[in-house]
Amino acid sequence: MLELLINPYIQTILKVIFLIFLVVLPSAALLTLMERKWSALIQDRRGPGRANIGKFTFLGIFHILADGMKLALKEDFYPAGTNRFLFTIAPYFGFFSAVTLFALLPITSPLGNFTFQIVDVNIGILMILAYMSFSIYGAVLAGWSTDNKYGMLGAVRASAQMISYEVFLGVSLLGLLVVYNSLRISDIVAGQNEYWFNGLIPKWGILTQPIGFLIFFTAILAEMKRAPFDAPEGESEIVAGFFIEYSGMRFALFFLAEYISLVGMAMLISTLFLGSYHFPWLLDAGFKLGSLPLVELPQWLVVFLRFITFGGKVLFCCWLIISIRWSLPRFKFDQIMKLGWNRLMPLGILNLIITILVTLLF
Amino acid sequence: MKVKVVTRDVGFLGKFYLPAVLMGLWLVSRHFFANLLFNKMTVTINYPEVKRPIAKRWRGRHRLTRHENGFIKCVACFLCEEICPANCIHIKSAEMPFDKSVEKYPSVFDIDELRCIFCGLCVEACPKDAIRMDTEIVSLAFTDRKKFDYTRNLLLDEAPDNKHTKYTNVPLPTSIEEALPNSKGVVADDLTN
Repeated sequence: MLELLINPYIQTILKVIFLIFLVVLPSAALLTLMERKWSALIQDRRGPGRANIGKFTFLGIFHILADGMKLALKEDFYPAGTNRFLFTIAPYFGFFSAVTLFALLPITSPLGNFTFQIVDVNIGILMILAYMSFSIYGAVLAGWSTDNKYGMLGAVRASAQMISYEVFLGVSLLGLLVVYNSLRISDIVAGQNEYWFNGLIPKWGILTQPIGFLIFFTAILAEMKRAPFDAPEGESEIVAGFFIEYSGMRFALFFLAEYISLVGMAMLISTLFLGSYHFPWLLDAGFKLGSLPLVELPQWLVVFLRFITFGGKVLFCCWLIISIRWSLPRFKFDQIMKLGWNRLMPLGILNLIITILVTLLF
Repeated sequence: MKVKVVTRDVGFLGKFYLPAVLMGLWLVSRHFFANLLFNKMTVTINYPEVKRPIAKRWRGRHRLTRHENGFIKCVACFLCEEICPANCIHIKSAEMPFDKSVEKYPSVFDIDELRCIFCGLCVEACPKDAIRMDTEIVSLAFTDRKKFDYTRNLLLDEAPDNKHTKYTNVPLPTSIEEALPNSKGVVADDLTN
């Protein structure tokens, strides 16, 4: 039995099952409710809280069940004129790209030989970028196959926006790669636990690459098609954009993929720029601030503290993304393109040049 | 054609929308945390459990008032039925058998609350202060249309949420003996004897 657990293949399968069923799906399902609740708090409302079992509402947590049941019981509908094959496969692209992201991101530091990361490939960041581009297919195929003009408009907007923002995403990450000198995720994570000034200030991505962080964050918002870059879905103009004709569980796939990718992107931001699972001054052996003596901690406690830290960072990033949705109005499509190509692109290249110069000189 | 050119100088940082984003985030997070931690700015009321306080002159569902001896105050003068613009009051009068200080009383007093427009003219028309709209019952909602036809006794006190009625769920006195002892009504001799 123990030999089975040590087998790396079995371990990987167990990790995938654990991650999908205990981290990804629950957090995405919770976020569907949390977004509504947080939006309500921001707008001085109370938010959903009526769904109940008996007398218990638990702050509206049963709305997740109610929504799921409603979507599951809805009619599976093909509008006239759809390309059935493309219509059927389109939702899975977004879902696939959202879920695969989790394979590459560690949720806490290794415990002994056991890593809390499914795969640690040496082209980690390239793989993430490749998977992220997959969600464009979902949007384009969904809009194209529905034979609906709103859907088509949404698909065109989505593809133009996502393809161009992928460029800035790459440019902003280049600076990070120069600083940490690796494409491997675990190297970038380890690099963020080094310190400046004799162990005082951690070398987190947001401190080494502040401009890169801003560009990356903006590009991430545009990649996820979230407000203020939600022109592809723009309710007031093109109803729902590319998934306008979808209903029932196929719509639920789009909906769930959006929230899974929200969690995934929050994890990506925290991994690359917010020091991943590292808590400041918490080393592998224990706490050490500057030249003060080391406070030793057992390894399992360090791993657990880092897991909590990572969860907190992801939660903060989710909150930030949702808050930005309510603080900015939607950009016009030309404004999206202008912000990208006229401002973020030159800024990103400038940031890259400065980063390279500083890295070479010091 | 004359065109008014509006120049907006947002500055260098403003072109990246950064100050606007930060200001927006500040506003949003202020509301978020104030509501999350202290529930201060929330204006929504959990309606069926918590009710908004309403003004004293709010015109709610009608009720019919009683004398202190338990007799109905209404004398079936038909003024309210006459003035009602929605024609929702239906009265049938009968001779008052016990209390001889009045001639008539309503044997039937029905209000169709579905037709009622809650204008309050019936209350103003009443010379005896027999009909009022101060029950503070704001919403009438039933699954059956017939439940909107309020009969005389429902208007008096049988409605469970009729909180201003003093004699809630006490039946109308059917004889003078049942009337309360401190009756102010003048009783005719031939009935008491």
